[in-house]
Amino acid sequence: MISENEIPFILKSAPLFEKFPVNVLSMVAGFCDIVYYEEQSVIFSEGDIGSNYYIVHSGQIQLFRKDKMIEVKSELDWFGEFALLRNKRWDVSAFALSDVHMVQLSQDVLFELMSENQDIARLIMESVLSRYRT
Amino acid sequence: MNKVANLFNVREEEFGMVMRLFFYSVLIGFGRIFSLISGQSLFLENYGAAELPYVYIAAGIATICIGTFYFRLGKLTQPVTMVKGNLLFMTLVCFILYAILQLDAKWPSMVAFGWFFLLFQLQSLAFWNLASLMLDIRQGKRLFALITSGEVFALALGGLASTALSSMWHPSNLFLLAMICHGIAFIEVIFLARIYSDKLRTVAIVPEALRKKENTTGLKLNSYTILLILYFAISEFILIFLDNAFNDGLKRYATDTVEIVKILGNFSAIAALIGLFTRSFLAGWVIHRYGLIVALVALPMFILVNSAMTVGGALAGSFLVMFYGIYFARLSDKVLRGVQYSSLRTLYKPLLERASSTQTFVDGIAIPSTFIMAGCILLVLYNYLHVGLYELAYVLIFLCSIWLLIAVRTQISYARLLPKTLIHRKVDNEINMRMDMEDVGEAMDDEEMRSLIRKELLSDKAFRVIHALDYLEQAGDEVLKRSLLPLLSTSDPNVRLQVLERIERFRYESAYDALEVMLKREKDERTKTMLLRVLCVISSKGLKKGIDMLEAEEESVQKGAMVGLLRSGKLEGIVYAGAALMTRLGSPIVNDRIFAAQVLEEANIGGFYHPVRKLLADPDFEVKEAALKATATIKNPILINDVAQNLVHPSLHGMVATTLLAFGDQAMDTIRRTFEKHDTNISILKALIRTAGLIRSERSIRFLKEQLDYPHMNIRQETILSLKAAGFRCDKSDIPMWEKQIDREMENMRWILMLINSLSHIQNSEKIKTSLVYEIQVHRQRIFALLSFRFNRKKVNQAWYNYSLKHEEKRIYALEMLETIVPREYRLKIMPFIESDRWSQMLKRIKGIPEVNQITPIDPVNELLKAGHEKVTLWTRCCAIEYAGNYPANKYTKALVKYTVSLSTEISCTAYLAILKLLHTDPFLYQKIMDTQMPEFIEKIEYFKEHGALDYVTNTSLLKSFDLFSPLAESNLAGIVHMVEVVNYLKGTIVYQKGEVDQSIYLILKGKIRIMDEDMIKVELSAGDMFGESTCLVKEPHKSSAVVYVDVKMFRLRQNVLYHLISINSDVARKLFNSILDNVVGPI
Repeated sequence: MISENEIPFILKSAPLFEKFPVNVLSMVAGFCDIVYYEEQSVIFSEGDIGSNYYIVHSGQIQLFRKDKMIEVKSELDWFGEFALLRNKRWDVSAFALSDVHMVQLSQDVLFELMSENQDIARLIMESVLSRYRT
Repeated sequence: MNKVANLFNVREEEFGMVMRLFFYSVLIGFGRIFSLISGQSLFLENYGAAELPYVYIAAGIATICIGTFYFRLGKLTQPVTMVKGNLLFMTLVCFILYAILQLDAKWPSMVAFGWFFLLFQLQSLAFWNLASLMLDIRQGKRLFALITSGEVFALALGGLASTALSSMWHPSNLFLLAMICHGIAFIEVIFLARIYSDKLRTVAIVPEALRKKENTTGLKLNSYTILLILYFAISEFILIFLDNAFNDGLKRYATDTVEIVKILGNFSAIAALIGLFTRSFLAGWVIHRYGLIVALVALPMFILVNSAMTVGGALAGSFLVMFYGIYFARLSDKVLRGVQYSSLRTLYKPLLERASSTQTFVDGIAIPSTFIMAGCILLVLYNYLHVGLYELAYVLIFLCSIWLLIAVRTQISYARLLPKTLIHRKVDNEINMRMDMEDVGEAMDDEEMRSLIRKELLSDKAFRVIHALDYLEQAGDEVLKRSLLPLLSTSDPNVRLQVLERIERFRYESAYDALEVMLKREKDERTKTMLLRVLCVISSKGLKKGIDMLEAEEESVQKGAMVGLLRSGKLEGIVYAGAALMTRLGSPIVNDRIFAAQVLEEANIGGFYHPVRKLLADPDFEVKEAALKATATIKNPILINDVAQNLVHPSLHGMVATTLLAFGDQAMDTIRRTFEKHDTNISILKALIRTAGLIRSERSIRFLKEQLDYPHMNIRQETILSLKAAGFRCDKSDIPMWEKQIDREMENMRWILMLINSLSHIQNSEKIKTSLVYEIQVHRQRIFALLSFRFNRKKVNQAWYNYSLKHEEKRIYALEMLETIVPREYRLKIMPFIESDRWSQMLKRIKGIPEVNQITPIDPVNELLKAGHEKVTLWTRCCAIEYAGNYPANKYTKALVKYTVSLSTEISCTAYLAILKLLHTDPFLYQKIMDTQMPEFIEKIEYFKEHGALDYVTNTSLLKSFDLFSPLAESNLAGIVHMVEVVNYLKGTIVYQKGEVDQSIYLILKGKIRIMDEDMIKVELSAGDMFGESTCLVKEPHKSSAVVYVDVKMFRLRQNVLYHLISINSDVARKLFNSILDNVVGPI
């Protein structure tokens, strides 16, 4: 279980939101979903269109491609940044190894926030540009 | 071909797929009939009816075995591979059977007949696994029945053919034909998989290593799956019972074998005729129109009524009525079962990735099991209880009633399940709704829980500590106060801030010494400010320190001291801090005044409204912004009018709206007054409406409702969306108004479609057409918004979101869900307008619009000029006005002259430019205008002739021609044209120097620019190129200089223009953001 108050800080632990002031984060947090996946469920399949960003709060998630195990994501790991920003198809599948609680931010919510609040737009823009620009 | 397609309710774009699937179904049908005839005849040749039960039982068991195997395998392989394997297997077995039938033995014929039952299930799996993947849920409802009529067709034809063939051939040769049919089907599937690879997409196969042994079913027994299994199982039960009852009735009714054959012959003929008709014409149409529920309840209803007739006949003592009761029951079963079986395949769809395995389970395991079970029960009933037609009719009535109940429940569950197939989106005004979270609240008072949480305070993860702090504070925990001080040494500044906040809130005086020590070490600025503030508030010793610190060097310390002193509530503190604040307020330096505003914001004392009011009227925009922020925190209603006055500055619209929002309903009077005062400035009106929508009070909704008939499309659009944001619900008295609005949208859309249609005959009108197509999307958005006012808001909103995604599958599910929400009377009206993506398809489906490519007497440009303002947005009208300027004849001159006095500068400028263009082409026009028009008009024309005007339309198109903006709709770009500067530089001019900070993007329209690093030319740019983008959004000095090489004309967009664009709506934000990533970062 995740309480609403911790979401800003869970967000802050991810590089995308690292530089966000706490008050802005709590606004973003109000728009995040808390999702729960039971053990042994498939969270998404390779080839699915991704539009969600996830930060794991508890539990373990196995990312795999065909029979190849890629990575295990656990507490405070994040994934899906490209999915959030670019609507790309997943190149891996995700499977819940145990019961999983995650904070999920979906693309439409992010862009809605960006269009409603210029602070958020600026912060996201700066965070993304400063990390990906060569 | 079109007519054929229309006859069968097939849409043009689906025609190819339907034909291919029909062919596939024909092949399957031939394979089935050849196996059946050959197997049955050989069996009857060698064995008698007495051996039949053994075949049934053996086949039942074999089917279950194969079903289980198939089911297991399904989790390891892709569905398409399964189908291919299945067909290959059937081909192979048919060949083997052919081979062993050549042996001189009796047993192969028994095997061959037994094989038929297995084949039946395997074929059904092969067909449905593929067909249900290829057709989406809405097509399935319409087309499944039609496609499977191919099978009926093949059965009839194959039956006739094999009768003819059997006289020449040994029946075993028919297995060769069956083999060929399956072989061709196999090849066809390979082609289908290639053609429709996007539909037959792959699903993740969870590797063996990850799966837990005990959880390998893949089938999830939730209430919906159970309902489905029950529905199909009872259906099977009834089939067998009915068949027996019919045979029993037939035996008693008919006197001899000849009569039996006669009745059976007629029966089959009638059944086949009606069946073919129902499947190919009726079923799809009825289900499309009335929904799946018809397919679900039709058969149970018919059988129920007819069984009742049988029972009635028995009670009345008429055997004739009794017999025809069961006769019609069997007939309706024969006709409707196929329809039901095929149409109800759509019921599996909402199960998504589990659909295939559930279907396999039902077909391969559940149905054969029922088959065996029903057989056993019948044996008992006949042999021990000696039941007959009359008793069976009672059993049938009983079973059908249960069946009906299950059917209704299934339909309800189906409608409930649909939303889950869509991307869930949290609806903006229900922030506190957490769909997937278990309730946390109850555990609050549990002591055990609290001690657990207390341990969390020691965690090294900031979010855990803060969560624990919140939790314990809410629970009123005593221990919390004691644990605050040690936490001050945590390394994370966020934790320290939170702790300090609580110390202030508790007025925890004894913390003073510890805080003072901390102040000396603290590095983080925000924490420092907070520290000082807390020191001043909690004790009088701190007050003195605060007064001293007012003179400190660091701004953060000063701020903390001032806020603390103001908040301390002690007169001495307020006097000192007030004096310091006064100096800042009156300072000529902008940053000082901003500082003052920030202090006022943090102090958050309502009584101090006077200085805030002064700052709100400050000439500097940054100060104004800071003051607006402070106002939003302080929320003193006295300030509302001062806030609203800032609306005259377009760049402050966003901030003002946010600030007004903070006041909530209190601001409504001001909003209404300002609205009336500025009723010509569209952007102010839009900002006000948006704010009213977010306020969400009764008064704001009333205000918005009044604006629904505002005669301007841009305002109407904003109003409806704001009503949606306000969570408006229609009550009874609103329904006429609502219906009027819906009708208006339909009428508008019809009008727009008609214009688009007639535009196809007018050259160079692409721009108007594109903008009109965009208008359609806007209309749809409004329709969904309007629907959400009356029906389940959450579901409609969810449907809209999924509908607007560029994701075909989600769009289809969204439409299907909408069908379950909206009542039929509106659904039939609305669906044609939203169902298809392309306007050409829409045209076909909406009645009353002339056919495509048929010349219409309407002049679309004239229509737009005449009635545009109530039906389309500003941009489309400007396009039409601009286009009118191309006509040499003075066809539109009058309308154009009228538009020059429009209150919107965009419209009037475009109209003037259009007239100027006309003057160029038509020398006589000038004289005519001189004679007839007012002197002011002529003056204006002369002025524009010399100075030029804002060329709204051309500039918008130019903007769109740059890669960065190409993904955006022109109507969105039109919103920033007035903010774009056009700059002209001569050769040698330095646009910016290396090291300079200039957050602008330049788009070159003409000339050349060299990007230089010292004396080295890095790159030469010309028309169509853009530069400055990488430093525009992130505040950084330029790494190189830009020098004009050949005289240039450029667009210059400052950073705030881009952010303004982002704030138009989330869709624009998404597109622009992606484009920025593409153009600035490159593909990631």
